[in-house]
Amino acid sequence: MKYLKRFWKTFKDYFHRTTELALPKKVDSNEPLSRYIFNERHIDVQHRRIKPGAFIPPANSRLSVFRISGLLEDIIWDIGKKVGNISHRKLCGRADVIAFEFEKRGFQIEANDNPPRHADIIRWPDEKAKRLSIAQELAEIAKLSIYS
Amino acid sequence: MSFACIATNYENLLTIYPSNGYSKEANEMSRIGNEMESVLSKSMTFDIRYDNILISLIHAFSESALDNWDGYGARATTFNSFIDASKFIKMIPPTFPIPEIDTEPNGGILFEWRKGKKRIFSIIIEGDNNITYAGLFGENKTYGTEYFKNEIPKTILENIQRLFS
Repeated sequence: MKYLKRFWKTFKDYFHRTTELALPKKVDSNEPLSRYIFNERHIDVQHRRIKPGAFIPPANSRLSVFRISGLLEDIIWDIGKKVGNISHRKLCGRADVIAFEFEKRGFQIEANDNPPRHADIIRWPDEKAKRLSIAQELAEIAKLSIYS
Repeated sequence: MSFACIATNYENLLTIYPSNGYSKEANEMSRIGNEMESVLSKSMTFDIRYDNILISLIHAFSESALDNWDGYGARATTFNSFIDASKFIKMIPPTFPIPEIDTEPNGGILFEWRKGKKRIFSIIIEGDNNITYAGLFGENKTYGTEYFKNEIPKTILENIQRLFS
């Protein structure tokens, strides 16, 4: 048992280091991207779905996501917890969307690695109503994982 | 400083607890508390359907009353949004379904009606006499802005009916 625990720790540490590894600057169309959710109101637990509010960009028109390609589930959640710690928010869940879904709606994905694996979805339309409409679509296709 | 608290015994929906703050913020908080009390006392309908959504609105407002409530730099929900949202709730026809309340990162209140996968209608009220709306009806979608003052715009009502028809 002790041996297994040590093995798991080593294994996890190895994969933790992969979060620091540089990914290609350009986000691949097939890459999964995670939008971490820190507000319970953005999750409909009963129907296991994301609400559009989770995908509406803030005033700076940059929707924050993380590149989770090649990461273990534990590591993906660890990144979310670290992001939450910065703003003292409790992680509630995450919404995973393939990069292509953003690209086909005319967005650009700007990877900046600050913090590691971070990217912004940019080039949102100016019209608020169109943003809401896109947020609805993204909420419908996103895969919800609830943090427990 | 004054604190606005949601009552759990329903005798008073909102209770304002004054304290001895002198700052500009304390005065503002006190003013907002009094206005909320006034709006809500006028809003009390004694219809559990409306009262539940009003309580949900108060919760949403209080949860997003400070900047960065979502951890991504969201603006605090404005008091004008809250006032207009409670006005909107009072105007929902009794035969219409009650929406779910959410908040959005630009200071508005988001109302959402949903009828299964890919059937959703949402509006954002930002306290500027406008309603931003968007609907997803299977493969069809619609979006736009409507003026909102003394009645719910016809387009909004028609879209809610379309969703549930």
